[in-house]
Amino acid sequence: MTMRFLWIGLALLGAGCFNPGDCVKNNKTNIELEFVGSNGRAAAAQFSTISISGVAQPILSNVNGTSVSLPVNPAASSTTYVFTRPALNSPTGVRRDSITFTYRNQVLVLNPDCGAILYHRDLDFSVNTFGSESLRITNRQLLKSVARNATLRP
Amino acid sequence: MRLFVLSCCLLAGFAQAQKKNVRDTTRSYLPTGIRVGMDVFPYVRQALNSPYSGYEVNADVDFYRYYFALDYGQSSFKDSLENGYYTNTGTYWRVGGDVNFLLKDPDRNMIFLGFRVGSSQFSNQATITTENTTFGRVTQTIQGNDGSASWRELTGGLRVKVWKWIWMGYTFRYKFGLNIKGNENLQPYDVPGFGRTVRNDAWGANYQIFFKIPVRKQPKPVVVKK
Repeated sequence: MTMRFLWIGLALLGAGCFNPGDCVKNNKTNIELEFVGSNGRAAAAQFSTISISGVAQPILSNVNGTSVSLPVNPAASSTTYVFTRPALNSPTGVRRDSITFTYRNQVLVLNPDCGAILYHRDLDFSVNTFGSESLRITNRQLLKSVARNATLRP
Repeated sequence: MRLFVLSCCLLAGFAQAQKKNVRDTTRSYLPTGIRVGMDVFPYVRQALNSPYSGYEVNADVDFYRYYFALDYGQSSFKDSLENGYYTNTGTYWRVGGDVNFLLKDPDRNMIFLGFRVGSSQFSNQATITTENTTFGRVTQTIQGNDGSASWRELTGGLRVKVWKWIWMGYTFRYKFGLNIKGNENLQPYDVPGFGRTVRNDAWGANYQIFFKIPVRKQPKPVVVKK
């Protein structure tokens, strides 16, 4: 009887070896950018367009909100975003600012059936025309579990 | 698999039968020969269309009941992914020692436990396709060159003299303490010689055929009549 239980136990343990496991994908290809006011709290911001350098069409138009989700170029290690908004004191009537976010692409293969998972890590910025203190990185990893990657005081 | 289990049992039974009524009178630390062999499993896996291919050669030298062991192998892994293709190729070596617990056997058959230090140098590559509403369908190739890894192993198994200079045996390995260096942009799915990297420990096994090159005559233990 004891031996029977031993064999059942071994069979249950051995079954785990053939379990392919779950494909847990926590990666994301968007930077979550939150707009903040001078007090550091979330505040609504308005932009006519937000576009990506090298992409013909703006990715967002008539933005009016406290945050935006910015897609990163998965085949590059940096993506430049151009923000435009009306400006009365500008000769063109439009103020144009840009931010270049940099990141490191890391590929992880957990299982051939799950495919290769592309992670974007070490988020930083190399260009920011909004002003030196206006942009802060709050989380350097682009993950589904991360609600905010950076704050911008426009 | 049935053949493997049967041959394991035969080897174990044969080794057990050899150790009766003999006294060890052969305590000499001079090596009796160099045993050189190869692992059969990689060829079986290739025949079964496994994504793995490669070879492994093994060698050991006896110093009384202690054996200096050296393994060298080459391994490559090529498989389709759900969103691309992954390849990994490299070489590995292990060095360590075994202790034979079958002291009184006239042929120096072995039931052994041992320890190894393993090291691997490899390169891997993934070609993946991602879809994005802004950038569309993007295919890119990420390379991880000059990767290296090290690990430790606890080993155990059998070696049995089958005929004159021919030996057979199997080795079970518990691999642990995996440490991967390099390849930060492409985490290796597989490390040659270690296996999958999802966990820091892994099990392995070899079924080996050896040829012993004698360097001196092996002293025989004295048979004790009861």
